[in-house]
Amino acid sequence: MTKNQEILELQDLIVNFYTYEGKVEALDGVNLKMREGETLGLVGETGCGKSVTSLATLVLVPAPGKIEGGNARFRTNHGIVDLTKQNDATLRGIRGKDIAMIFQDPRSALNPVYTVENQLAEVFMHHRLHEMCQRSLDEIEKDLKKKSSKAFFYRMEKNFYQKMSKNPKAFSLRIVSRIPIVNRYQRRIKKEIRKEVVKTLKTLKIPDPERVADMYPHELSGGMAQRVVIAMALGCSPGLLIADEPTTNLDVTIQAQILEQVRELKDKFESSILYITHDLGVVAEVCDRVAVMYAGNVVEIAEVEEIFKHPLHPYTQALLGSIPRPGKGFAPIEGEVPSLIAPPPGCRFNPRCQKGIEICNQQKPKLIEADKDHFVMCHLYGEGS
Amino acid sequence: MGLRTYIIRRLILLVPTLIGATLLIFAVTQLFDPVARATLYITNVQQFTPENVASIIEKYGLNDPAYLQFGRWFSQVLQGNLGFSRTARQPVFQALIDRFPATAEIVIITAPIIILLGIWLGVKSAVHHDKLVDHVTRTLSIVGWSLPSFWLSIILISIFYVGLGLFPTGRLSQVAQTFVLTDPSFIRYTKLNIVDGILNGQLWISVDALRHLVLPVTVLTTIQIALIVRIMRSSMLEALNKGYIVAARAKGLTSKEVVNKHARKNALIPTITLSGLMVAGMLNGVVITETVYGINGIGLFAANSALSLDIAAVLGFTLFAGIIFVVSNLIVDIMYAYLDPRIRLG
Amino acid sequence: MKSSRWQEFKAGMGPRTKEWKFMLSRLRKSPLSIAGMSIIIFYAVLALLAPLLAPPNPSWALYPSFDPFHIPRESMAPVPASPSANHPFGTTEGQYDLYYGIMWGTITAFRVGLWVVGASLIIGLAIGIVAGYYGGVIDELMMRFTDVIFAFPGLILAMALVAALGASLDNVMLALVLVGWPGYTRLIRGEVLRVKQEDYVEASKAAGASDLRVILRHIIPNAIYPVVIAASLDTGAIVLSAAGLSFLGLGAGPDYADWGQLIARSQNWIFGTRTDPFAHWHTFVLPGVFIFIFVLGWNLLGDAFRDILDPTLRRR
Repeated sequence: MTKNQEILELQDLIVNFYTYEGKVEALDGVNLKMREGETLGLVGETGCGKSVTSLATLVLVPAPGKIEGGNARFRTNHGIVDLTKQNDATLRGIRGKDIAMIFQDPRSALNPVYTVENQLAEVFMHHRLHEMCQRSLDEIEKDLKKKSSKAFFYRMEKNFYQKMSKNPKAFSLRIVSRIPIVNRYQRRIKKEIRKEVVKTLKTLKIPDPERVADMYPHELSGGMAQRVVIAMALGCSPGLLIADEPTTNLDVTIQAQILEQVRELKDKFESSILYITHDLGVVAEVCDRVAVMYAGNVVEIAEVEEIFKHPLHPYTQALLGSIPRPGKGFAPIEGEVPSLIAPPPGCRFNPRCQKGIEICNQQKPKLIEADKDHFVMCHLYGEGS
Repeated sequence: MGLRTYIIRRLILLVPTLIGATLLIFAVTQLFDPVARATLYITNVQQFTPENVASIIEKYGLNDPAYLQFGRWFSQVLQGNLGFSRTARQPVFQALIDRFPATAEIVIITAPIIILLGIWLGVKSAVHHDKLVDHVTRTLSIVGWSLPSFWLSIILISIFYVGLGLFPTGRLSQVAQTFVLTDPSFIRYTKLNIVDGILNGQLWISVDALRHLVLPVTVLTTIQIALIVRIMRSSMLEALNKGYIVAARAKGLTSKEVVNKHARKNALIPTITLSGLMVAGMLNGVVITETVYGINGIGLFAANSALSLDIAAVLGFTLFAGIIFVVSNLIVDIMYAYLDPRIRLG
Repeated sequence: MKSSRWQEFKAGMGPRTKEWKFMLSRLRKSPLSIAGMSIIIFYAVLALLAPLLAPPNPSWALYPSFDPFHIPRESMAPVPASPSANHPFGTTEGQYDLYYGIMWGTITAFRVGLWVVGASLIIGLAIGIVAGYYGGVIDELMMRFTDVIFAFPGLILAMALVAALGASLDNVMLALVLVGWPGYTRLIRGEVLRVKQEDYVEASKAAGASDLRVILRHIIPNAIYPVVIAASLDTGAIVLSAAGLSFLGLGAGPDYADWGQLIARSQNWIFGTRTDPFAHWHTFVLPGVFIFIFVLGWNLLGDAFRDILDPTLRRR
């Protein structure tokens, strides 16, 4: 696979939330392109739509939200598919396997009543069942060769696992799994899965993985919990990893560790990462390219260095200008984020923009390539200028 | 801490609660005059003649200060002597034991129905919330909760017994009752007619008992189920909004798995806690239901005793009900700790 | 001076009144609450107009011990009479006029419900707030005490108390209060404990506010919502319990205008006559319907409150 192939393309994605207070136009035609193997940062203020974008990619926007326009094209092993048009079964095959997500608050992303092992096992049971069954079958073959008295049971187990491999939801399997003594056949696959769970935890450099696997989420520290969440996401070596502010809720020191981890994994797994954050410092450390979002639009995309050196969009400029530096003082951006229920006409940044021109409050700009591999959504560049 | 330690701790906490409960009952006894209180100490009717009364009062020091009396009475209770019931003409404890199976039969059938049906309806309501299923379920459960149990009982008798002749009142029909009590081949292993019927191979007894149980079980279920449905629904709605639901979906799980595996277990936690209330509701409910349906269980015993001011019986029953309630709360707490790992380590 | 304090108060209440207006608007729109409120208003009107709708016999007023809640009877004949012009709802056992009984029973229902819930609230809240706010030994003592009362199912303990005190409607009410206040204590104490830890309470104390001020101004307004919900649901439940106790014969006397008691009188007649099994339907159906709808009204209102007043579930 060539490194420069695109893995994800969001075209004019529109997501609306129908709430008590009105229709919230959360995503107003988001455009984004990601290349294979790259880490794309998605920055923006709270409420600009970063999380919604990530959920929309997985078609998991919660009610009362709806995807109402545009498409999300993703490259799978079988070609490019538009995720917004797929049926539930296909999407479920992709979620967790080809695209995986890391969440902002690790403690709330983990179910408090199930152990770490249980929750990691879910990913394996769903997407790598065949592989696990195969390993169990191999073990059974080894046991059969030993010619012990239990050969009869081994043959029965073989039967179960072969069935599980082909049709895990088979009615017969469902019944058998509930009968107390007979369902001990599941021990084998549970053993295999536990091995895999521990292995994955080790990859994340979690100390004492055997013990952690048996722990409950509330027994884990914030950093550990986040590593577990990352482990859950990486369980099936996804092609695209979406990280939704994975370090926001953690201490700064832990943040550094997690970032280090992410960098290592980036090199090791060669996944593409969509890294959502509001922290420009993190972006500088981890990302190859950056997309800046404002009020439901992606307003600028470029390589990290390029954007820091030559920000084109007035918002990006103001954002970078507002970073406090010694001796410089505070230069916050005037005004407030617009209400997404009654957004301003034309460009949504216009009311706060110092450089607005007449067309800005009449027509929305389009995302165009203003410079080499540097995209902006602003009337100051492109056809009008 | 672990589950075992938690259980032991809760068992230890049981003791002061039970002692406190008996204290309360004792305080109520003090509202009566010594003659009435004498019934708390005797064990057969012969003892209670006018001549003996004075000596009983003397013997048990019923005119002594309260704390002394409490000591004597408490030690007696611990030995199982709850006094003598005027109305039943037996020792209170014996009367309760004799009548317990009738009540148990009702409760054993009702409780699982309320819990299982309630949980199922609650989940359905939450998953389809604000749709027709939800509105119908909620309306029906509010209606059920608002019905006076004695009224519903009477209406059901009027329609299904008087009108349609389908489900009679009482525990057993005349024929079955005579058979159970007098036939030498019938051994009452458990005193629960349904079970005994099966164990003795006389299925018609079991069927008869079931027929008689339909109406009281319906009344109790209709009224109590609202509690479970409501709490299950709201805790499901809460659980479905949590982050781990989205995370589970992002892993590729089906809606069904997400609801049943992830949301439901979390939602069950507050529901289980409330089943303690359900037990109280049933203990309350059987008093009236047994009275209307003429079932000779501990509820009817309580109602009759209260009416005749048979204090030994009333208070004995109250203490009995209290102990059942406290123990069931303990069981509920243990189940809660089993379901929610966060509690055990607190 | 005074006017600025008032303006300060109004300004401080600003966001809160906005919340209340929002809640009120949701209450007005919710079908549950409209239904519940309509029912309760209907019954309130009935209760207020009862003396007009079912006037007691004027000649009785001459007797010094006159009590309009005693249902008039024209004879002592046991068999209930069906509804007729003279007796719109018929009569029950002993020829007590059902219409009269039901109308005045409305007043009884309100009296029982509101008094019992009111008294339980006052006692329960007072103890609960003190226990929750001050904590320590007071809290422990109070909680042990309420635990003891909670060891018993409510109706059963109330039954025991009534048996000890003597069967009368007033004793039923007293017993229900004694059994009911711990519920509110537990509820408010839990909320007080939660609110006590909030930052704005700390801030208020740091600014020098007295305990009373903190309690009145910060703790109660934020802790009170579950209590409001519980109280409205409880009113219905109390009326049901009182009716149940009256039904068992432990409450109102045989000629008293109380719905539960009226149904008790109907027990012997549910089998009707040999020819018509439903001959005496009016004796149990009519009073029962009135209890049922009354309680339903309060439950609907309480449920509406629960949907609307729970701050975490609002604005969905």
